[in-house]
Amino acid sequence: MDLSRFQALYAAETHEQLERLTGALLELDGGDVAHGAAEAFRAMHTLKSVAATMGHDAVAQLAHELEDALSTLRGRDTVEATTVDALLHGTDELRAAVTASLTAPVAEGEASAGSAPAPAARQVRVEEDRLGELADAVSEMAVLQARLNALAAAAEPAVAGLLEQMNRVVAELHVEMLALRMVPMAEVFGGMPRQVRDLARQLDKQVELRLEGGELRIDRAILEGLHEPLLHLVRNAVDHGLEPAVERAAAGKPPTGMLMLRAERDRAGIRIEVEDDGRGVAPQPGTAPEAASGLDASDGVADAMLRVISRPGYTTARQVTDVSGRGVGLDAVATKLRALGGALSMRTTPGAGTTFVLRVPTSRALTQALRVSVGDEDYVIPLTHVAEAIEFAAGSPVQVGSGEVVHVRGEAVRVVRLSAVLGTGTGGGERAAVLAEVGARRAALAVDELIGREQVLVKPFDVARGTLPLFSGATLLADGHAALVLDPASLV
Amino acid sequence: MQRTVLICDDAQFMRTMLSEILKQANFRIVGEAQTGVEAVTKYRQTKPQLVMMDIVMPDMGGIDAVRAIVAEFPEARILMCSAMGQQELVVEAIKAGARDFIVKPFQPARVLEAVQRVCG
Repeated sequence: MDLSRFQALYAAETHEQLERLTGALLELDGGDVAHGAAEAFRAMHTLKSVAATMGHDAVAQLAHELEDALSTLRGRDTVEATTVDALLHGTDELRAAVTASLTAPVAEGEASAGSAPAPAARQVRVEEDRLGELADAVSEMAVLQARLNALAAAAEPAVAGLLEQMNRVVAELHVEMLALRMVPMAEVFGGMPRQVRDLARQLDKQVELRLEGGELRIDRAILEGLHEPLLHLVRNAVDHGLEPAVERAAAGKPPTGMLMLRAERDRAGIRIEVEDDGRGVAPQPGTAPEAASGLDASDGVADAMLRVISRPGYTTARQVTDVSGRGVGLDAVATKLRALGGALSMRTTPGAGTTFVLRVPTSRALTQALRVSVGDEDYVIPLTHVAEAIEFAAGSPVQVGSGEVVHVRGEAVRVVRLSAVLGTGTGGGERAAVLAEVGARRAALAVDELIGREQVLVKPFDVARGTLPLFSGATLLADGHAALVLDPASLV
Repeated sequence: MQRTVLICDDAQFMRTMLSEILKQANFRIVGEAQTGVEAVTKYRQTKPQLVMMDIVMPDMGGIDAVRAIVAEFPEARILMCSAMGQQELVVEAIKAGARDFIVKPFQPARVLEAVQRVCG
């Protein structure tokens, strides 16, 4: 039997068992020891059998030794943290051995003449690129279908009937297509307990991590992009947010700090909160006036402060450390989230804790966007770069030199009239603006009217870069109209 | 005529491996189970001629699953899949009603020998 055919399955199985093993070992640490030990034992046992079957003896031997170590835990009520340390260390070694075995040649099992049977096809592996191409094709079909729908009004009833049937099938196909790329949030949450435990031990802090919403599904590409920002925020919370036990006790808090990772559905996609009950972020007088200006101490909302501490220029500046001790790298988190089509915000109450809120779309193909009208046309602006929408008050915007500005909470923001940029020639009727943020740059994009939010399927333009500098793509609106997607990055 | 088999193991790797070996011996896989409880349920549904049963599984272990199946279907032919160092458990499984056992890591020839002994 040629075992090399099972290598991919071996990789998947060992990965799954190592994850399970890590989770079970963390459970030994103050959780249900009996359950954790039994679960760890099963995972180790399966790993051993699988490795032995593949002829990866080094892995099997290591798993066997760890299995022995685990068997001494049976029937115990508590396990010392140092024992858990040792077992986790053993797991790391095991993981390294598994990684090495994945590149090692596979031993030939007993020679079997005869033809190789087809492997049991319960799952198929698909290259992500091909899935992407398929998704693009489905999206394009949706666009064609909308054009057909527009023509169908004048066609025979039979055509309209068939088209309606096709509409249903295309909608189903689209949903299925998106589902293919979806994976549970738990995949990104899975590594966090270990990270938190190791960091807490290193810093000599007590931290309880709670995870919620791991079952929510999200586009794999977005999930992968979330890993780094989440890890960063989690490490920041343990390092800077949560206080050592002594400090907590002095503040009248329980000695164990609470860290919560919670994923929830929201209208724009998925919202993930990283919440700690630590010391919060308090501005120091005189060090960050910008931060203080937008901060409402009464309700603990500090999005304005986040804007300050997450600006690239502030990350390494001394002010940040003075403000919060946690500025480093937040700009990277915010930038990464924007690239995913998401956004970062923050709530903090000095002395009581900080919550970072990450919002991301569930899928890259479907985006939340703001629909606006300029002249006779409707356009959409992805929410990715939209900070807020504002209505112009009387006497606003105001002329300043050769340009115009509008005041948003005391800050003067440059106004860009889309009618002028787009050449629609109707200026003057603008009643509202979309406050767009690209990195540290901001501008108020003046429009005739704000129509509302819509979930849109963006079809990127396949044209030479620079030929259509204002637009990033086209989309079909829910009412069947096609609209151009404005690219704020080219306007701000 | 093809014989039928139910494969019970919590590891996909092991299930696939056993499927391959048994298909070569002209078995039809009528079901797979990942837990003891699932094994009992699937046995009732499919009444296979052979069961390959892992010892260590979540929710209900293989030995308890053997007891449950044999209590209801005394004619059940169950082959235990054990690992090195599980001799005592194997003895317990045989007492519970399993017909024979094989030891992981599996050698296809050994598996087929054991299957032959159990199915006759």
